[in-house]
Amino acid sequence: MIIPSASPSSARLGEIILEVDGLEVSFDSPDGKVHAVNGVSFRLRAGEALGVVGESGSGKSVTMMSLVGLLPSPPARIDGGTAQLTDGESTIDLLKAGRNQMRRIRGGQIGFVFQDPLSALNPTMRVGEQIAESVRKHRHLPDDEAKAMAISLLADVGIADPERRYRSYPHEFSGGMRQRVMIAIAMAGDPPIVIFDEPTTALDVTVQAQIVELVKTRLQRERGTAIVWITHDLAVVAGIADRVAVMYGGTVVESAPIDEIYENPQHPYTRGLLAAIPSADSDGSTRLASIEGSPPDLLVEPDFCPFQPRCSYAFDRCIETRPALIFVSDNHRVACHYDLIADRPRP
Amino acid sequence: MTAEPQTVDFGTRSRGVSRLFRLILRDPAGLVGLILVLGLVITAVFAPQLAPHDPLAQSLTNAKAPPVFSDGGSWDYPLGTDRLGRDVLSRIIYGARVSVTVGFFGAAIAVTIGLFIGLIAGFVGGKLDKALMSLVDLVLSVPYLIVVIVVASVLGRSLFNVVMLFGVTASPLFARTTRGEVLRLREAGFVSAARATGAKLPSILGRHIFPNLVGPLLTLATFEMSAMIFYEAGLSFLGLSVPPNIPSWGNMLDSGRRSLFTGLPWLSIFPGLAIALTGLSMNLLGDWMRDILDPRIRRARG
Repeated sequence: MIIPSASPSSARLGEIILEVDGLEVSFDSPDGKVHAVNGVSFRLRAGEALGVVGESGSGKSVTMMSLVGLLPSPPARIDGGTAQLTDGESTIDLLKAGRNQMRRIRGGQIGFVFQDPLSALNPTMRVGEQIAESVRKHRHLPDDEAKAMAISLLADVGIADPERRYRSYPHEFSGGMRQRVMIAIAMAGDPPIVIFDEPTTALDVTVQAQIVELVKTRLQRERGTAIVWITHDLAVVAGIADRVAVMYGGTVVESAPIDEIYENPQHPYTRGLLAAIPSADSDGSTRLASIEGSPPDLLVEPDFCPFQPRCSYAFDRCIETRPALIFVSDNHRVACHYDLIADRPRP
Repeated sequence: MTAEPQTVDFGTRSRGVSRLFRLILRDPAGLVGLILVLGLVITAVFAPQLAPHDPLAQSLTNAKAPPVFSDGGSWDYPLGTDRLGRDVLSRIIYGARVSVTVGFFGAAIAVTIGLFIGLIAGFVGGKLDKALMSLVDLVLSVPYLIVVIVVASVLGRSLFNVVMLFGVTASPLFARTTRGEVLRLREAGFVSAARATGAKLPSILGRHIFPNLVGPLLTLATFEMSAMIFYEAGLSFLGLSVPPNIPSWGNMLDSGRRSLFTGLPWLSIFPGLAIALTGLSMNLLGDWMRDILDPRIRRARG
């Protein structure tokens, strides 16, 4: 069954509902200031699935957590940028939202599904009640209606015999089933955006595929929910995303529709990532390609291109200034001083 | 959409008391512990109704009567009488009051103080956490026996003093446990997940943190109760606990000590048995509670 939207979003498909611009987040550490996110910019349109790809420490999770105020502060600090969330007529800056406003946004405007489904459910509470709690909070329904809705949400995410399963405890569910429950909890407030933070990393490959399928059909297609899918796995992204943002060293280095990324990558890092995907055609005689060097030191003030030490195209300008994220076509943005297509530095 | 194989049903349909009942039946050791502890509490509460004689009534004509199963014993005094003719059974029944009071109230005070300190230390953190934990270590580092001797000699021997003392000296244990659990739970995935759905702090505390504290604290409290009952018996034996006109297992043990090998062994044996049985039953109950209060182990047991 399709549950009617609690707060009918007037955003039409394709309209920009979240625009993040120049987001900067740092952490205080005993060794100094850690520049975790350095000027991240991206746009999310209603109903689209955005894949955010990057290695560990590239700032993917920190970016998303900071948008909904889930980073512990201290040590985390938002140093700059804006994050405009549009809901119908009203637009608010997430980075300036008050505590109460942020509580309504969490779950109501932006749902969140975490990486580890094994720890994300309270072991002392029945699974159904954990869903009903979120339903009650965001839809202001009496207990019996919240329960009915929680049961139908369980059915929606593919849990067999949902009425009986409502009364189960988390330990009675497998990892995949628990992640389904987490998705049901995220759906409870019917938010126009759901952020998935590496939701399938802890699951085995067949379950991964089922979860991706579930999110695509139930969330994106049937409800028109916009999806942000954080992962370090380009293969998973290909299965779910309409558009991809590639992150490196705390910034977005390239963003484009998924086909464009695969066929026409314009950042040396994106090229390196694509070259490193193992191929099934390989006869095993060739070594897996890898990107030389190691991830950037986030303690250093990021006033140069973060990828420059590992980049074979790097030249003077890459050390002197940080490249801006510029449009190379209508829907393709890249942050690089070197024009790979023309094979020369950008003017 | 196909779901992955469902796990086996572990009886999620049954609820409340009936489920608890079935759980205790599955664990004979826990059942024995529960019955004995319940018996102890009932004995303590209904001591005046259960005791056949006044525990303080002396009767020199009936002094040194042996238990019913020895030569010359009678059902009038099933466990015999002491040198002053006081009924041993009645004294043991009344002695349970001291043990239960010390165990229950001592543990209750320790949990209350410990929970309070532990919650503040765990949640506020920083300098306050350091200060509170130093205080806790300070209390832990003082040998309780010395404190007891000082308190008993300055304030006099009383049950109230013993209970307060046990409560205060055991509270660091609960403070440390609570703090550790709070620090762990604060970072737990389900607490972040609850925050991500917009839950308020009272709801996070009440629904997500506190229920997860109950299990470890209740289990620890059960073991501490049995330890306190042992300690109290030891203090009574040394004459540092209740005044001698109140029968307690410890002072009975002490007064029977001198005639253990001179014809009146029952004066020490029966209170000793009462102490041992109480300790055993509380530990059995504690083990069982530790198992069932953790839903993850509950499955393995079930």
